Amino acid sequence: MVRKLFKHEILAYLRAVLPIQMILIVVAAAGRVLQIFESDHIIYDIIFGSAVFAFVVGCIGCVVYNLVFAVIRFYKNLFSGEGYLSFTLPVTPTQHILVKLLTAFLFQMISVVIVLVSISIITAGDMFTEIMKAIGYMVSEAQSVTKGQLVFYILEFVLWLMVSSLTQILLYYTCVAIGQLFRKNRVLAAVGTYVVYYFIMQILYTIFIAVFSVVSSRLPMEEIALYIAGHYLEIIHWVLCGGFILTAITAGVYFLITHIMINKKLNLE
Amino acid sequence: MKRRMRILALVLAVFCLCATLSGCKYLDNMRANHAKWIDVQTILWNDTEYKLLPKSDELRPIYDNYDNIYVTETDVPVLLSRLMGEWMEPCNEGLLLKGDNIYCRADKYDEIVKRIQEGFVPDGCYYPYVDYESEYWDTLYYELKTDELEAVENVLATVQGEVLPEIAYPTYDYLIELELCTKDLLFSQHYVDIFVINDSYYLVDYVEDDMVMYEVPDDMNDIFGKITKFLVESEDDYWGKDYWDEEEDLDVEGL
Repeated sequence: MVRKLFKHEILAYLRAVLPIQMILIVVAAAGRVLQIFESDHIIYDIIFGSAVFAFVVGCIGCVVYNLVFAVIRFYKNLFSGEGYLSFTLPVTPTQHILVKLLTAFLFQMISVVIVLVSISIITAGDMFTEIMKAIGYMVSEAQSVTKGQLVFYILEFVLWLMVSSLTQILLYYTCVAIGQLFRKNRVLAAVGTYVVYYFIMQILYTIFIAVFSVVSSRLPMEEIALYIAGHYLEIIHWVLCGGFILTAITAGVYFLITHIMINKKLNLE
Repeated sequence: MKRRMRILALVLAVFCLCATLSGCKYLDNMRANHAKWIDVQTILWNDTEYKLLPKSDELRPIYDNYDNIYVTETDVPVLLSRLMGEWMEPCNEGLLLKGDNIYCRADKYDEIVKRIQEGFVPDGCYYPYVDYESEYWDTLYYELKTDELEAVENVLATVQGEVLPEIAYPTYDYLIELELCTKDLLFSQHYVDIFVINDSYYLVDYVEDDMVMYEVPDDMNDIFGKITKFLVESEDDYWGKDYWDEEEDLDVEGL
């Protein structure tokens, strides 16, 4: 049953997200073809500038649209009229959340890949070759600075990014799950939940900064700085792994809240 | 389906061909301004070698108003040249200026080294001025005529100079710095400054820590007026007359 759920979820995403991604590819191709007519004329500058602007907006839009669609689909599929059908299926709430989460994540990654492919299309030719050379050079420089640890840093960073993406999606799911507790204006309530969450996080962050400023003035900062300078390779590992663990814990908390809301506090329209 | 695939393949092939055949002006500009170190004293720029010249106080290349170039190690890609390179200024006579170091085109190296070793022999007296009427505000050089140079030398030789300490640096309306230069403006040496203070002309020479100020006699004002003809005579030339017309509308006495 879970496999069928995945299949339908993927089909729904393909119908919604694929056209946007294809448009982005076409915009990138058009931008590249435009460069064949490159000249010093101001009209070319205006047209090409507009094409680049449209491309950048398209890239951002492609990724954002995917996220927005994920949240809308989560709400409609589980908390609107469709929810009555969804919860009659022989699937646990955990499986519902996981299927939606993983499909949203998969298409988020696909959007990123499409953006990278579009960039390679719009820079196709000489520019793309130079970009690859520049990246290769920076990687080799970073490899020598990090004494061979670069691969591990990249792996840890990519894992952290992936977990962060999952956490972001789960955060929105949690806001939607809390918003559905309200009888009226559920969407507004979900947005309000996010605003309140953001507000609380900003206050906590400010308190943390204030406490840290007070505490750090009493710490031997010179020794700490020297230690960091001498052990920066290990410290980067700690930061990346620590960030990954913290983000994973946050994702777990969001998942738990969403699960409890669906399991115990479901309030369909 | 087969037909669609063929059409798609054809479109892709045409696209790839166009992409590989067309250039990129931005990259071409970056390549044109990218130089590489061959060794500590030699640079390769636009397939031409430039060698480091010996230090010389009189060697004063003039910045040519082109884009700066960036010199990097040989393995640095062109896109990183501005980030990782050291910038240099292309100058006249095939010279490159990098900080205090001057590099010269390899084919002119021996000639310029010989001129440095022989010492500086000026061919005339010049001062730089900006041509604001030209499209790009060109920096040009005015060469003093024989009678004008003689007038300057005459004042320095005959007028009693007033020694001023450095802290008593006079306020002035306009100043031009005269330089003794070679014809190609490659070598120069500071000569004397002309100060214009309240429509009077003064020559100022610098002797160790002091300034010696020579007041130009009134009968020579005409010739000094010719010498300093490229001075900006009023703010009108900068901002246009409309900017200053507003002052005439103010009736200060009526306030």
